[in-house]
Amino acid sequence: MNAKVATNNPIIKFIKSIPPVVWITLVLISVFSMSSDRYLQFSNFSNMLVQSVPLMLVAFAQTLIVLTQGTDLSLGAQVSFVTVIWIYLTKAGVPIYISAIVAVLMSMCVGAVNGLIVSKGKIPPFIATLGMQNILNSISLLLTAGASIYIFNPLFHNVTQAKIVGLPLTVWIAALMFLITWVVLYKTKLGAQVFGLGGNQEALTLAGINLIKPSIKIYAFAGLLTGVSGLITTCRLESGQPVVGAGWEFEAVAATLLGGTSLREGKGGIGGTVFGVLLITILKNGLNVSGVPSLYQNAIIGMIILMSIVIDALARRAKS
Amino acid sequence: MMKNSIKNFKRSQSFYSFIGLALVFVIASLIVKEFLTFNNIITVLRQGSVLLILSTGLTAVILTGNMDLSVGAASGLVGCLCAQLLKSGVPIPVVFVIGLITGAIIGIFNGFLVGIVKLPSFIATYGTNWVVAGLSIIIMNGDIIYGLPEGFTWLGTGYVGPIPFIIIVALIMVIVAYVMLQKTTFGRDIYAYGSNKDAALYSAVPIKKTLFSAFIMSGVTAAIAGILMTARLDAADSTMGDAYGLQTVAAVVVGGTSMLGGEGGITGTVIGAILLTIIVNVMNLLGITSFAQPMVVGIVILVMVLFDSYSRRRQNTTVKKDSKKSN
Repeated sequence: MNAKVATNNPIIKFIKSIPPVVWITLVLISVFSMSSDRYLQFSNFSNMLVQSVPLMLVAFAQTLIVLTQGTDLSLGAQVSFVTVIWIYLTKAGVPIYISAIVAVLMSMCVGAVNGLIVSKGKIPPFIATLGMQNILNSISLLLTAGASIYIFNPLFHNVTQAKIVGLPLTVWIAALMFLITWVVLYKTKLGAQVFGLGGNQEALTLAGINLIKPSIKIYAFAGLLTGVSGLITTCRLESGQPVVGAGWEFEAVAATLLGGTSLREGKGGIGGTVFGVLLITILKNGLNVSGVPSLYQNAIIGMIILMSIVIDALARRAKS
Repeated sequence: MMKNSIKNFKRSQSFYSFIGLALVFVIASLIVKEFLTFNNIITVLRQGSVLLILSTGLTAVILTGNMDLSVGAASGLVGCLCAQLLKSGVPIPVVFVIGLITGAIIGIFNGFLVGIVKLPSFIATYGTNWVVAGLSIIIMNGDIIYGLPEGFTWLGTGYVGPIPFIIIVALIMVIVAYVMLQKTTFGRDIYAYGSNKDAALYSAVPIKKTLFSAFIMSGVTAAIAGILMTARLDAADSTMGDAYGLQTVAAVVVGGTSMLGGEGGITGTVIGAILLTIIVNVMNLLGITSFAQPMVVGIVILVMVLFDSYSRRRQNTTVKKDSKKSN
């Protein structure tokens, strides 16, 4: 009886179709708006959008890999690696645009190696990428002796301050990368293979489809996304920082799961991931605006993210 | 019969780990002349004790086919908590109990996330790792604590005859873990769970209890390791457990315990932990910066896991060939 009413009433149907992530986001916004007057200002929201860009790109990468039933724990380290390589090479005299391209190419190579190890070596993606995470961290720390490295160049400032039609350039870049990822995922053969890898790998193998090449391409594409994220991060910090991306891989996994992509079935997409990232950014921003000491933030953010994943998983199971 | 058991030993992963250990040992004593001295061997074992204790608990979790990425942070949190309690004058035995309970709670939390919520274990425990590391920062308030009571630091620095006490604790932990995993129903349940979860369920293995026990074991060994770490350093800071997380995973995997669960055990883990400690020790003796350590540990993990996957596939094809022959 109840089910019948629900399917007939378009309002209830609409409410039911909204994923939990949107509810959690709304609850957070209302909690934070109560704790600070400045919270509900437009400038704060526009700020949050800009803050969310680097994580957004990493989360797109993570979503692609989760759709193949993998997880890439090296994505955060890739971002740090790119910021370090870009500044390091530029400092060594390479023209700034060339070193940017080299840094992104290197992170794509890192991705390709991940893909090769995972598919050809047939080892669990999280352990392969955990190994890669530590190798990259070492390289970043060795190149910088553990500290931030700086160069002075107006390019960084220009990138972060530029606006097109009222919106910051970095937000447009995120939108463009969203579009590219969307096209790759839904309009190309590679995208079909992503869903194939996540769906039934054995069936693909039996059908004589080689899984190695698509894996390499997907992880390399993830490397492209983290590369661009690394460049934007460098522009914002105007420096290369060996540990800046630590933990982003976890936040990206959380954003992906909260956005409705399933870890086990190869279902979902990057649309939901956008909301997942916004949720995490709102959370971080809200803690700052309401004056929670930074000392407490790691534990609180981790806890709330974990709780959200748990609530989401339980809600999903109750539905099915 | 004899030939078969030799063949089995040669096929087991611990055999390769043992050869690896022997090789690393020989290479280490050839390139560093300080390596093969009594003092340095004791140093290696003393350095390895914390890792060894952490690895025994993690072995139980990996044998169930799961992962616990929170052990490093858990040991750090317990160490920080104990140091803070000792500083405020809480008696040592009470501190121990609180430390162990904290470890068990972290284990129960992980067990809940994996067993009840059914999150993939590496995601759940990666999350726990962040939360627990964050709690350590809160407890320490951004400070470092040093100058702990002598009765406490003796655990990490004291000697029984010529042998450091910490090595004896590690040895006892290894024996306890070995007996638990190889000689008890709990151990059999863990192996059964890891090799085939569905079959285990049908043969009345208490699935949830086994999973929770494995995570609690990992949490408690992390707590013991954290206490000893703090006692040995005579200090605590919020990041002290961080490096151990990856090293522990490496020790278990290098020891030949399969990431898929159900295969391997404590013997291999002991070999793996000592092998890893020797590598770190040699890097220290050679004066290589600590920034390079994650890279070496990461490479060791990748090589061993690739090797494990490769030899497992080769083993599968030879088994197929053997069965063809008998047909």
